[in-house]
Amino acid sequence: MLKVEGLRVAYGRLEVLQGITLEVPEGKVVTLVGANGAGKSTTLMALSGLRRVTGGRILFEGEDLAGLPPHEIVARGVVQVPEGRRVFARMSVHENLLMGAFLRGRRDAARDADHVFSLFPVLAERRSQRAGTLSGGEQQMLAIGRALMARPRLLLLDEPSLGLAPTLVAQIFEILRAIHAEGVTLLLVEQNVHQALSMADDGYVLQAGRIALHGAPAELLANDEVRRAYLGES
Amino acid sequence: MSVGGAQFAQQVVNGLAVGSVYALIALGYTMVYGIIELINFAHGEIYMIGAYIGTLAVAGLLALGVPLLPALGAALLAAAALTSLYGAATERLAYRPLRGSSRLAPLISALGMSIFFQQFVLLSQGAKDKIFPVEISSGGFSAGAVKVSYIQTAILAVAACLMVALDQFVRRTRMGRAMRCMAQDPVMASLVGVPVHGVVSLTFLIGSAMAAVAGFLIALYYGKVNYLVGYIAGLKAFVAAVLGGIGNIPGAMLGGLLLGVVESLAAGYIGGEYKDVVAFAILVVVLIVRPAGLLGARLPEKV
Ligand SMILES: Nc1ncnc2c1ncn2[C@@H]1O[C@H](COP(=O)(O)OP(=O)(O)O)[C@@H](O)[C@H]1O
Ligand SMILES: [Mg+2]
Repeated sequence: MLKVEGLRVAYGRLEVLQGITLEVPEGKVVTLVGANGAGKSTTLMALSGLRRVTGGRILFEGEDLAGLPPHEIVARGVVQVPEGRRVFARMSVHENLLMGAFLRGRRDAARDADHVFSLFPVLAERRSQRAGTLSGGEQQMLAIGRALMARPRLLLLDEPSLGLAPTLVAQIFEILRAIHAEGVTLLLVEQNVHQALSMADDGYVLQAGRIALHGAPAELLANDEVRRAYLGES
Repeated sequence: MSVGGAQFAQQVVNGLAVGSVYALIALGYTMVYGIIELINFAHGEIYMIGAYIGTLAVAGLLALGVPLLPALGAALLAAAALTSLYGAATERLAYRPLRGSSRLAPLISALGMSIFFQQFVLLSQGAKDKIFPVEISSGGFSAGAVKVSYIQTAILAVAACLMVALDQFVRRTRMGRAMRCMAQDPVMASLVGVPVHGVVSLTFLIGSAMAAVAGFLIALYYGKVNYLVGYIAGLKAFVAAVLGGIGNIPGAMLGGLLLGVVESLAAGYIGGEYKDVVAFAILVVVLIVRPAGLLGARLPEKV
């Protein structure tokens, strides 16, 4: 479904992505892990059309997305839940969801909002509340719900469990499994390497702008380097 | 009503009329700032161009034998439509190519556009006042000693309609919601599929159309325009926008009305030559007490 080939992105003269190649097959969950500053968010932003690509290709179903404006990428079904949730704080929960469905019809949006409310009952209770007043976990649910409103075919998630209490982390991963079960393909960026690998079909390790390792989750979990660097084992 | 009370009420009425014009212009500043954080220094000139187009259109329509009221209405619409194209073209040609560069570059470009428009109108229309081709009756409605002229009534009515319409547009429509999203988080707005350039263009179209309406109303009110009227009006409207809280739409409305009323009271009670002093003194005091303006956010609400 998605094939990234030799992707390069630079901030000024600093080349942050130095030729990344990865693949996300349709219907799978692929995870991209790596230390802070490795370039994970930059990768997702480039996929969403928000970083200028200086080299390589981003093939989504054969079409190169590099150079397309972000809204055209959303229109093709590649939707991102960015790092830090970024809910529209001064809008209500319901308005946030409507914004997620910006490119879709009104009637579809109403139906999909009901679906999101069934996935996240807590959002239904708070539908007229300002998003800025929600707790961190609720904001993350809203951010995911908002992305679902765009009817993603490929959902890009940037550290959805960041800063959440363990019970909430488990809940978020539960939701991600449910979303995947509905047929959405996932590219999941996580620091929570164990959880991420446990639900993934395939994993990539990003190190300083390059793919350092690629393999099945079980392989990566067994890899000494991964265990040391990301699973806190010595 | 006592004589003092009547004078006060009369100054308030006059102030509301002028203030609602400031408010219409201020909305353009504040919407653009809210969305791309640019102070569009050329906005006063957009207002001036609206006043010219309106004046020329009325003259043309009357010469063609169109009756007065339809001519005024059609000229107003023509001024709004054509001027909004000037505004959107300015953004497209002078600001958009600079987006993503330093913050200063578009500001300088805006100053340049302001001078360009002044000179353009000076060269094409001359330095002399252009006289509004119709003398509007000085009559009006009166309540006791307080008089509201027909023109003031028209200004208040048109401005009120536009402000209500804008408020509803921004609150309830899909594109209005997109504007609010851009103001809060432009990156996230593009991630939900908002065509960012399109929304920016739309913002300039709307802001410029409202400035043109303001220009037309003022040309009608004072009976003339010249190529420099955009400077002072633009400055006043900018002050109004800052007073209300730049980036905040109700704030621009409030700031405009307040500025108009304060100026008018100062002119009535202290003397016309002091009205600008008083207006700017109030701005300074408000900004000391509330740096973000009257309705500005106290804290950044971005997460
Ligand atoms: N807007 C930016 N401007 C300049 N450098 C940036 C910017 N965003 C990220 N970087 C740098 O790019 C590198 C990768 O960042 P990022 O993609 O956010 O990493 P990650 O998400 O893996 O933590 C870091 O060194 C970071 O400092
Ligand atoms: Mg990151």
